Amino acid sequence: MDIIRDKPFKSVLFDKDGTLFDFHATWSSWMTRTLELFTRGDQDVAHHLGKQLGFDTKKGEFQPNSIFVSGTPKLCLQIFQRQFPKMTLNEINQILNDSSLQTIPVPVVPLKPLLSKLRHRDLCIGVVTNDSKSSAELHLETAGCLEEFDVLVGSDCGLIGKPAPDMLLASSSEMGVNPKDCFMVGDSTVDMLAAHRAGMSAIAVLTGVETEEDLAPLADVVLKNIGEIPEWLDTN
Amino acid sequence: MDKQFSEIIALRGVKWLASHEKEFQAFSALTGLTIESTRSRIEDLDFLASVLDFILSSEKRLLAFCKDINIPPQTPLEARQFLPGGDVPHWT
Repeated sequence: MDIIRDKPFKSVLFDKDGTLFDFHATWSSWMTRTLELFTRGDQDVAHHLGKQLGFDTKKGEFQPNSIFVSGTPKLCLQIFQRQFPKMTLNEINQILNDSSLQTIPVPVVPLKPLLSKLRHRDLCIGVVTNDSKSSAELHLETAGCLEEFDVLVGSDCGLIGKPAPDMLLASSSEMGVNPKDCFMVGDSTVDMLAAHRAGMSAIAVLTGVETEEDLAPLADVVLKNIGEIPEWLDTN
Repeated sequence: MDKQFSEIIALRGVKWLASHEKEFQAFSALTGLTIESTRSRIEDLDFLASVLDFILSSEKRLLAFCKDINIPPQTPLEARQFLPGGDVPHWT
């Protein structure tokens, strides 16, 4: 399926987790380490706890319907607490938070070369994430590509998060681009809804938790990952 | 399938109508809406329901829409059920 356009796009907006950074590569190794930490290396307990969270410790990967992915943080904490009743929810939360802050997200493809290819096509580039702006800056800095972005909007920028279109519209207006000339790249239904509400084209990638079957009816185009964007732009 | 799914299918319907002049004229004749006035209503679920109703009201239009955005022909009706007034009774 193709988007038929009479003039080229002027801007691209990226979601962060599951789009620029591979969800499974980033969080599966974190989950394995976290379970080891909590269970002090007891594999049976780790497997049991992992199962309740929707994480297969033997394969080292999340299951599609994992509570960790789709449930609330509180629900995850409660599952930990059931296993370790002597700990308070706050203590568990503290440990999980500390270890997640040390997690280095794994880029789906080398980001800098991809972004400069997009820049050569005269595109303004932005990130729109429901994560905080400071955390997004840290992740992009670590990946060595923070300066490639013209705009970065996070959940703490005073705007309603996705699926509302507000953060997308703020980004395009800061770039001075008409939303019609933007495309939003994301891995989830929420990204697709925000893009359509903003009147932008919606491009889905399969590096998050939702499947091609979920995303195909919702996206203008489905790509395997962000690495396919330059080629898709060329054939469009 | 849920409300977000339905909203997206309907929003894709809005975009499709806006890019098909004849279809939009027919929609406009029924609703009095212009392309500009649809823009302010894209988060209005009643409006989105009316867009799906309009698409569903002609089989030819429905099939053209589904073919263009590459979805199965039953999807718009399924999506309609999660928008206002969509709790269509099933007799079977």
